[in-house]
Amino acid sequence: MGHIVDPDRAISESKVRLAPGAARMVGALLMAVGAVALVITVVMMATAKDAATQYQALAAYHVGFMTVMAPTLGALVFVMIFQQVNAGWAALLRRQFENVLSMVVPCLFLFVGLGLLSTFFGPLWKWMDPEFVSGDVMYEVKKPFLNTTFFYVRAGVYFTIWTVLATMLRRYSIQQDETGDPWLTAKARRMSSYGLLLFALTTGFASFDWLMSLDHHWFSTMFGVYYFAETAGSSLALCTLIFLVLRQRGYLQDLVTVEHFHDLGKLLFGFTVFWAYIGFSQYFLIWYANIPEETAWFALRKNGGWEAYTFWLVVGRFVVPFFILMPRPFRRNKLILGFACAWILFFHGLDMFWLVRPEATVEVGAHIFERMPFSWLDITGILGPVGIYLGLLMFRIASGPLVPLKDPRLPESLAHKNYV
Amino acid sequence: MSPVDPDAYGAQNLGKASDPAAVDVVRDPETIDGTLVDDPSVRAPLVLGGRDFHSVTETICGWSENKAPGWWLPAFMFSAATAGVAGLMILYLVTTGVGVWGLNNPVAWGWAIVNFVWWVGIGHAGTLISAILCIFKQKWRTSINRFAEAMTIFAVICAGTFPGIHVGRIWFAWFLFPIPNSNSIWPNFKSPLLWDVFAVGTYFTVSLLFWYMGMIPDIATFRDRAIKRMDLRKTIGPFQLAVGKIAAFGYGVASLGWRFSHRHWQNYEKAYILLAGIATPLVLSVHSVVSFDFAVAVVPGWHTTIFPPYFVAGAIFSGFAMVLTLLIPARALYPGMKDFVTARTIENMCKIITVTGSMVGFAYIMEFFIAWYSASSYESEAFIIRALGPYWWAYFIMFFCNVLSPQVFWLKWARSTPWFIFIVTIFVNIGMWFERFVIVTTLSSDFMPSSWGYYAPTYVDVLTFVGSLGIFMTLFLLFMRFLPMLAISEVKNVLPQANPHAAPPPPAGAPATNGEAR
Repeated sequence: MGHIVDPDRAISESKVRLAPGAARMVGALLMAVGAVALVITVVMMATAKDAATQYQALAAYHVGFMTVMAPTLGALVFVMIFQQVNAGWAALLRRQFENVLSMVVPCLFLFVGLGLLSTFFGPLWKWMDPEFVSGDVMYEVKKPFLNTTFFYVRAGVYFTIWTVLATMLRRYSIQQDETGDPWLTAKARRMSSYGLLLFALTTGFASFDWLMSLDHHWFSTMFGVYYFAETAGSSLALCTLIFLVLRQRGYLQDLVTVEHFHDLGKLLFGFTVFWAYIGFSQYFLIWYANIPEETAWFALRKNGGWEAYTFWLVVGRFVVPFFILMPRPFRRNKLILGFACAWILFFHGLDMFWLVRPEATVEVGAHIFERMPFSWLDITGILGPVGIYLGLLMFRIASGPLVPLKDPRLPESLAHKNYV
Repeated sequence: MSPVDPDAYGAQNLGKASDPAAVDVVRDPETIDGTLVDDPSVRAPLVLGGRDFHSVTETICGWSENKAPGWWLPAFMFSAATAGVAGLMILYLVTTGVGVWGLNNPVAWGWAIVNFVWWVGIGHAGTLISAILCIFKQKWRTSINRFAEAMTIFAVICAGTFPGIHVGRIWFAWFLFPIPNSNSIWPNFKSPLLWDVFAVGTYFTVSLLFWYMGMIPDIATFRDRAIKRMDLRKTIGPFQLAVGKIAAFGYGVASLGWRFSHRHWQNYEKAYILLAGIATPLVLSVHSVVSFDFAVAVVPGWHTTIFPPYFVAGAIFSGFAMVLTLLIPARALYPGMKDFVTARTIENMCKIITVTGSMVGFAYIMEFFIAWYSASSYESEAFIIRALGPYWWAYFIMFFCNVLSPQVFWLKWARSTPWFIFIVTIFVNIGMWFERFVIVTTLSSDFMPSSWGYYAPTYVDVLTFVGSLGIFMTLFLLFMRFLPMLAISEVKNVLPQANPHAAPPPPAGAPATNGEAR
């Protein structure tokens, strides 16, 4: 509570509308970088003489795709949670989450690209190669689920659900900017209830399909939750970073204040710990039971050059942000919070790399697999989807008001304080 | 404090209780008591009845200070008798040995572990409400947190009973703790059973501290009023004087010299948020460790990585159900409680039950799917036996009660009709007990079909469990009688008057038919 602020007086056009020039320029630049990287990757794949190079570039593209898919899904879940729990403090913040979640459509195109690349130069998922899985009795059991047709049908279902949810939720919010009808919030709230249920199932199975089935022998019931932890953390970091940059560029003064950043920092801290909790539980239970068919997945990541990645993932994704985000003054310091967000996003990418890339191996002899170390192909492969995504996101942010203009809970959000 | 005889105030309220129309705020089919407003531009009031600070104190203290309601003594005697049954059964167990239970080989863990996990799980709601909802600044929690925290303490006491007695030889109970025994052998530090002792021990300690610390200002109120009551009475008999003096002394000692000074409040607020921060990871850690008891094993059906968050969700689920099981009757029986525990509070809790129930359902589905997907024949067979084998009925009860029954709360009618909610919470309590039963009886069909069998409890198993319900209810009824059931100071904090920028309060007794616009 505190002084009630009248939204109409607090919100002025210059604070909530991006000057189009600069933002579009940065957006175009990012897209150009992404496009160039993507072209290089595709050319490399097309001209590569060996399957190893092709496969590595494909896996790197996949890393990039999963890296940008995660904050999109995370933004979807946060918008739905904010609506579901009638969050007052977050009313101002919701728009940027909505912008990120609307990136689900570009993500669909990136996925179509992935599917095409995988078909021509792959397959990325080795079980799609009939030769590779011939005589694999474990694959035979999974075949009703893991077959190419059903795989893409499922992906279609996921994207349909996400696109409908994202489009509708954002549309209600944009419409409210015009009409100011509070019942649009009620509509979004209603949609969020079953939306969350659909989200849980689709995200869980999408992570099984796209990440876990890279090693089609391995399985973990926790895997969907692990990916969810990554979506939540990365979307919070991305949206906080967007707000920090906007503030730094002189927008949203007196609207999004240090009080909001403080709370975003708390949530980021919470989800950093949540990621560690899920990651640790998954690792710990598999390590303790020590069943070979489960430990193989971790053994791959603790040998052959990947052990450093595993170590730095734990340090970078958990230990460092844990201590940065712990003290209150740090969360209230825009520079330190911004550093923490950028740091978390980088290590979110590393996590996706850690999930995907060790699986990129080539069979050099009978059951002898060779690993491919990090190379510049990984950089271009990842940069392609990430650059395009971020560029389009810039355009999206510039396309409308930076905060909801007539949300019924705006006064609460404007008056938000942590000490009352 | 105004010179009003607290008994007179209580009598006035009790008088209202006999006339429901006077107590009930206007029942509007849409908003029930005015708090179920759907309009997003309106925040529902947290306290109804146009109460001021004084009437909050009078009502909540009145529940303990006035003569006990008629149902209290019979309920207490019944609960205490039931608790006595547990005592007798434990005595029989100790004098005879675990043979009196239905354990067999391979089902060496039976009802004792089921009861332990069930009770520990129930405790989680209190910690979630008091710690996590506090951190999320959910102000509606103030009317239920004391209640839920008390439930946590008593549930953990019941839970702790079972590991203590489960080997039958109670003189070895100290083996639970990491103390080297007479042969200089340390317990196995790599065993999750040992971690359980640390996890549950920490949990109990922190929960107790949190509960007690939050209660200190309210106990001080009780102390002051106990003294004042003696002064206010025109005539006072020797018995009343003795009771009053004991109450004043007891509450006085327990309130640790609290004098409502500004400095005290400042320290209190600081300690409260610190304890909330410390208790938050405990919500996750305790039941994660309990889930490790099963999941670190290589037993099919036990070893699955989703167990930690799935157990935590299940614990919160069962805990909220138990809070509602206790709260709904209390809300109906204590006059004026509906002003604090509004229809919206109940509705919010129903929603949490649906969310956590669906999370549990998600875990069931994932478990089943991965059991098949793993292509491990033992794993998939374990799940088929679970669902279709000799214990299919337990699996059915579990799935029906935990996943399907809470889905009724999608309907507004269901989550705003107290008697119906009460029935659903009973279903959930039963379902969550069966969830643990289903997990434990997975053992009955282990790797060796030659030793497959059917595990059935004996009457001693059953009565010990029923007795633990008696222990729980006895403690809870004592709490309701002698301690502040609602957090008086916290409820006052969420009254509109507590906000220095608020509008003047509505006239007393004004019916709240609509929310307070913000």
